[in-house]
Amino acid sequence: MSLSMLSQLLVSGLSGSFVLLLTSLGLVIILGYMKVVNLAHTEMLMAGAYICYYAFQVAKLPFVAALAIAFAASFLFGVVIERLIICHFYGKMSETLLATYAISMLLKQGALLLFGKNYKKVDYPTSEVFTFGSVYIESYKVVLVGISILVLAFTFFFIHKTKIGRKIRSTTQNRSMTECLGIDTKRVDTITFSYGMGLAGLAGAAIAPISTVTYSLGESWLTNTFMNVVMGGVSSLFGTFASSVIIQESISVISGLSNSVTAQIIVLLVVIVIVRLKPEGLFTSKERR
Amino acid sequence: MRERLKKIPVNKYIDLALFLFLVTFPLYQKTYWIYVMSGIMAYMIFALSLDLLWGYTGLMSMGHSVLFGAGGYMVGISCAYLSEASWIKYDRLPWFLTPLSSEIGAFIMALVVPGIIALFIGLFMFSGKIRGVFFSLITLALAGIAELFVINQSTYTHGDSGITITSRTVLSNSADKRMTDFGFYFVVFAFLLAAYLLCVLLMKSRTGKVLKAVRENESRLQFLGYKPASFKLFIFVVSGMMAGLSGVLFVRVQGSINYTAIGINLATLVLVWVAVGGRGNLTGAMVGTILLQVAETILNSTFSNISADFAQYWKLALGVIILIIVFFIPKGFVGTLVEAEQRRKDRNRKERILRKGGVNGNG
Repeated sequence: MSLSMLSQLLVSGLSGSFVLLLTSLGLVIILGYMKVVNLAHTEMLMAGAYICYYAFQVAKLPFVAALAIAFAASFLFGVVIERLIICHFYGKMSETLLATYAISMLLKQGALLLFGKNYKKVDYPTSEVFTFGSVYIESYKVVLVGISILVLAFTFFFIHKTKIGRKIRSTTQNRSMTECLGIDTKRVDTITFSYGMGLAGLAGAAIAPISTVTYSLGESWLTNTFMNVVMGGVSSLFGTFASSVIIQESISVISGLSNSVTAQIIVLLVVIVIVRLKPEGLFTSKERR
Repeated sequence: MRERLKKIPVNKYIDLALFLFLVTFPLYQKTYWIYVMSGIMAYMIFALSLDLLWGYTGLMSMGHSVLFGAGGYMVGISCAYLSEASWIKYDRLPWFLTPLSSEIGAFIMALVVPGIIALFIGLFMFSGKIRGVFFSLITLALAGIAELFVINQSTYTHGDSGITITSRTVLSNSADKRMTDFGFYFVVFAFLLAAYLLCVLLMKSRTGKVLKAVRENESRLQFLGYKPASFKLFIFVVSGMMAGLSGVLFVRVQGSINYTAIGINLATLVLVWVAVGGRGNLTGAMVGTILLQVAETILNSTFSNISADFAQYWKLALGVIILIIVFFIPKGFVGTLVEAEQRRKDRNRKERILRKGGVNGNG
């Protein structure tokens, strides 16, 4: 493999890492702060992508508006789902998994029946291609990196600097104590879950141009996002970022050498081994035990 | 005698009824239904294997189909190689698949390979302090990848189209050793009965009790001096081999295997079967499988001439079924029955004790 090809793979791998970070952030937040595995997450990506298609491609709204609509719609959907279904199953792992899987099934089959099997294509909002020597990158991928960094920064700000973020963290640390202080933890749960779902919708809308929008879009992200969560752990957002980079860069480079499926298998094996060595995630925050 | 009969829990009676039903079923049914039921019985073994893992030990594997499919594909690849299917481009199998060049070797490999996969995952997953949910996520990711893997390795697995093999033979491959649907039904039935008895014996043994303790309170078990990790590894390998066996039987019934037998769809479907029937008693897994699969077959034949998209509506319905189950009968049908019986027995015992006036009343 030549040097230029390697650098090309590394660059696309890096942009891919940010995309993976964006697509798994919602999952990490819901798992990390609520101990709920949201199997419907990847189907929310699919829903977000469809929203982006109808808002941006069909209705010709500006792309930022499409992102905002996707976030808002998924957030509201999250509120409904949390109040109706998820809130009954806190602390019951099997039931949560089954319930969220049922939701994902309903979403996927609903999309199939509503929108049909046809592929939809969303145009690139920006179409230039940057070239640096032999390495090129589509400008939209740079935009995606930007979106991803923005979302990460906002999430960090939201969780660590705002009042509601403080409530979220305190609910995670000690629910009964938080309740004693007069904070409605049920409302906090709803907000946390809906925020995670909203991020999933936003990410789905953002990745719509680089993927074919179809009912099975969620499935193709399932493996990578869940591997990412397992490897990065849930205790720090930085761990998620690091594991996104590791996973996507290795997949990108190994795909260049053989093919993407072999790459995924090798990465999964590595993830299994890493999880054994660092069960709490790559970068564990110092917690008192 | 009556007292002893009364002590047997209700699910054992259901088991007995179920097996009686299954053994008489082919006597009055058409060949089509015998064929369908043979497939369902193979699935029942699969559900039993998951019940060992999920219901008894509390390890929720979301990628159990990988082990099912691994078993099935071993037989599939072997049959394709031996009968020199037209799509085969390779001259000989790679070294790690050489046992597949004999019929018995293929059967053994179909049990060993899922066992090895389970062993590998288990070795890493169970020996650390990894939380239970990560096990589910890793197995889920595995199922997702396995599906892509078999499509990708089309040299051996024939990609999307899957492998067609001679159906209704146990070990052999030649068309003249084919059994009738009627005959093969009883072969699958015998395997199901054996698998069921194995599960019952295993769960009656001391090992089974330790496994239940893993589910109930793992850290307490550790304080008592047991190593939960090795027990979990043991049951995962056993369950994996059983899943492999069910895969073999299913392929032999169906006469074909493709990527759907190894992917997420089947992995989650089997979770639904076990959840509907109720986990933690072997009956539930079998009842759930038979209920949902028979319902799907009947509805499929009824609606297929009305709408071509029946499968999609069925999946939609499955989603609703899961929600109803987790909301209203989280223990599943059989689980709820068993619990109700237990409660009645407890009440009776309490009344008896109260009547005799004192705890010493020998209840």
